[in-house]
Amino acid sequence: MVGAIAAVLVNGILSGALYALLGISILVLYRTTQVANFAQADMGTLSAFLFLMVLAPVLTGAGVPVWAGWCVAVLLGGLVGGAGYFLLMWVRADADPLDQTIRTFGLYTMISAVLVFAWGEHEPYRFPSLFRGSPIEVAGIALSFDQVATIVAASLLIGGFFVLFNRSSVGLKLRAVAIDRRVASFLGIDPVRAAFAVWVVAGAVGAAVGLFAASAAFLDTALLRPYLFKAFTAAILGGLHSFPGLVVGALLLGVLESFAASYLSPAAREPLVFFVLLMVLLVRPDGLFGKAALNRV
Amino acid sequence: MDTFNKRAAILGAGCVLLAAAPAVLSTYAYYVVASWMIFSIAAAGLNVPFGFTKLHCFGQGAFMLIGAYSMGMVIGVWGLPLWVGFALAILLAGCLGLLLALPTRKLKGFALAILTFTLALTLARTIKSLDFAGGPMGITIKPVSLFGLSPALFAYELTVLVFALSMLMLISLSSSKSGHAMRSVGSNEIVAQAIGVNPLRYRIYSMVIAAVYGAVAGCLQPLLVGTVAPDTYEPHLSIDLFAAVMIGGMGTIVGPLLGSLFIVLTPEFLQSSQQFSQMIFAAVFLFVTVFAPRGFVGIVEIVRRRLKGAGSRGDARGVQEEKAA
Repeated sequence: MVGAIAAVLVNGILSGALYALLGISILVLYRTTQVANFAQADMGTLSAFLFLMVLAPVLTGAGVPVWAGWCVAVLLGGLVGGAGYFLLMWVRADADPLDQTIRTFGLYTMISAVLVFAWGEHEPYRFPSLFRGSPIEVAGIALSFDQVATIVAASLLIGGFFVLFNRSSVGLKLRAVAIDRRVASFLGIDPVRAAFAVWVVAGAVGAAVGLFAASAAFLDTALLRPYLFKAFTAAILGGLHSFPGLVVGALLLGVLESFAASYLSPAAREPLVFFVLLMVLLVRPDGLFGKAALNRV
Repeated sequence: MDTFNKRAAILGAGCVLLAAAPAVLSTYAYYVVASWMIFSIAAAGLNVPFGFTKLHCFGQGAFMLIGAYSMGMVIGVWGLPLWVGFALAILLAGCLGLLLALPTRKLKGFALAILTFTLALTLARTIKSLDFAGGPMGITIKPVSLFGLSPALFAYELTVLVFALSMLMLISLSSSKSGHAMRSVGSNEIVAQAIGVNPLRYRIYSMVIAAVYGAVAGCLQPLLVGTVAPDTYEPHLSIDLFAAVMIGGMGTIVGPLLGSLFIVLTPEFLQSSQQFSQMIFAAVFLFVTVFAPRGFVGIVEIVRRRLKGAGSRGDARGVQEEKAA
């Protein structure tokens, strides 16, 4: 009984951690450029496919260990993000954020069409797992090593992002642009370069989510699509301005969903998340922990 | 009123031609034409919040799903008459549209985009798990027909009728006081308030119109196809509809019709490969979103202005005003 509950809990924390990571890649882009990137999930899936189909055969041939291959894949994700920026935002760079958000729908359609065209026929694919090991026991409860290791790795990435965003000079510049674009540009921060940097970071974080999610299940062309709106929901739970709020929201969502799937019905997950989203927007539009945010004009 | 009369006359002539078309077209050809009209109704409805009040609503497919399932349940499961299906669909979708419009009191853009997109995704997934609605198999309905027409012809003529009515209502909305109020809310909310327009009220109107148009289009689909297939209503339908508005030209009357034509015809011309036609569609959509946010209509206007050889400011403003009228 306790073991079953613990397994459901760990499952929920795992999904929550992945929602949090994907949410970070969405929120960092939103805060800096006010663009909601609907292509974020498919960019992660694309990175996972590029890793499996292009990188992995080459790297394995050269005898590179799996973990190093994953690191290269995350860098590749950064490249995908950068390419996405140039493809979408290079033209009419000063258009309003909603115009730019619409372009991400174009990218979303394009990536999913390309994925289905190139690799859709033989999906799903088995994905090499980074963590292999026997179940570990905590206080007499057996937990899957793969899941626990993924949670640890995701937490490290989340922590790494916080350090980058809050402590480094790049992070300082990004935060300045997030607070006020114009003032930041007076202070010598190039908003275009900041936007580019953010797309690269978001692409890399998205690629990590793709790798984790693919190795937890199978890789298919719609891999991260269910993650997308949960990541958005988590960002809204956090009030769209706080990264810690986002992480807490994502974990709550993951655990809630995991318990609903086990104890109500697997079909109850999506309606539940939607209900949470609608309620938060209607009752607490500034997020669970939000104070009334200032309206940016 | 002049533009209204002109547009109504064009619409009337077009619809008479459409109604007579089955006399010369093959069954398959007028099936494609009917699909185009159904798609156009949904896209034209979406154009109201999207192009007029500038609400970013990405879940039009959800309303089509509601319409299709209402019709499927009413005819296929409960065996009630046709009009009950339309009434139920309009009622359900209208309430949902109202509910979705309420949070726009405080939030727009980002949150509404996510909320509507999520709604489409959630409904599409949930409906497959409901056994009374046919689960993943959907609902098969028995052919419906009135006035001694064949079921296919009846579905076609009904579609023409609904198409004519809904477009007529849209062109009258476009030049009416409410239409101008909606545009003012879309272009500048503060100015709209200053001239006595209640933004929330017109946002609600626009969302409800989109919902009802989507639901009515959804109602027609099972009559034409004979089944309610849940896979039709996956989120890609919402993106297709939204792409139709973008590609055609948002905020205009003909834009969504042109965009729908593009989306319905691309797979017809490229029947060799479904995946390939999806790529072509995606490429055009991406191009439009990045380079030509005003769609085909915008491109045509630019070309027309170039051809006239008058690149002067005054002329450009004239075109703008003509469009706004």
